[in-house]
Amino acid sequence: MKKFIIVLILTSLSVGVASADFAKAKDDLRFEFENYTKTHQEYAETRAKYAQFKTLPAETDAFEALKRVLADRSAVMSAYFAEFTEKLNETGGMSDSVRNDLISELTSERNYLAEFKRKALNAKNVEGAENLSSEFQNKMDGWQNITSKVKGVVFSSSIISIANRTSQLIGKVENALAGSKISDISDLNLRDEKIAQGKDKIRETKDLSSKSQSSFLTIKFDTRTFDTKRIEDKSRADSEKAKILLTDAITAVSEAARGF
Amino acid sequence: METQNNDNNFSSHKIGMGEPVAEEVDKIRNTWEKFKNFAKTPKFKILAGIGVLIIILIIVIAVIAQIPANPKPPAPPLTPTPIASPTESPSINPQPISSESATLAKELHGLLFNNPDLSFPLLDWKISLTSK
Repeated sequence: MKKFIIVLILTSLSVGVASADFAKAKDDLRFEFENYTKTHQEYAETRAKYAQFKTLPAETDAFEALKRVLADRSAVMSAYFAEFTEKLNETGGMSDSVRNDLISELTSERNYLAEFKRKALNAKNVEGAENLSSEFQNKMDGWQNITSKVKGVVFSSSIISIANRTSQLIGKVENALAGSKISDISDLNLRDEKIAQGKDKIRETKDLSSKSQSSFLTIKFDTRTFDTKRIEDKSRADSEKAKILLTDAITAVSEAARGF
Repeated sequence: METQNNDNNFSSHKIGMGEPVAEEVDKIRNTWEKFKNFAKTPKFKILAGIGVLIIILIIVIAVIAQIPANPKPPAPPLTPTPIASPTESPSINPQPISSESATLAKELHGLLFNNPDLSFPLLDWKISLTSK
């Protein structure tokens, strides 16, 4: 019993810490985005002046603003990937290897972005800065793929996690029924039927979510092709179907547990 | 002459004021001496001991009065437990199952594929000084 209580406390603490980390990552992203919005405004203003006057001071101002906005834009993307990392850390229903592989992918992109920021701030001329800007733009497809993949895995894994907890709840209902004083046979039969329905739906939910999770994991860091989009749409549809199945399972369990 | 008489009257008046004060001081001193002597007697010690015991007794009674009497066990329900309301062991289920299932249903309902917290940032992807 003591061990159980300790495990329960530790679990609650770890969940609390994970949620706090995600909330912090969200705040960091908001902060970086606000920063970027301000520097983008400066960039737009100095760029307009440079386009109008074509003077050397106007060009210098515009160039400095360009470097800053490139750096701040990369900081936004880095904070976005950090947020995804924390989301993965707080989501259950996936294996450690899946979680670690995805986090490693995100970390690799964050390292690239840190280096990009350094290069942007140290750009020697407009041409160098613009080359960097093009490089960043070329990464967009890959980043959309990676975030779509993580989002899909987080969604399907969350469904699996809730399905696991529903299975545990069914165990509790069965225990409660075994120790109950219900003498109405038809009521007992109905409850047993609901439990069986719940179990079936959970099995289907887990199968479909696992399939969807595996499918999301096949998305590569690449250009966005028709095939990528097809995988995304199919996996998402499977996950949404799994969600409906799990909703039915929880309803069945609630009916079996009526009065408890 | 008249002045001298006045002086004499004044000095006699001063002496007349000092005598009762000295008497009062002597009285107080005597009373204190008497009390000190009395405090040394066994009779005083017995009376002081009884006083302390009474104070302790009052404190003990006050503390006991604060402790509520043991509550009586609740009377068993007069009506029998309905058949449809099964009894469970609290160790098996400390939280009502219905509440747990409601929590799960709520959590699932709030689960969205397009979680707004994870939406792709709206950035200007074509930052350039030279391109139009």
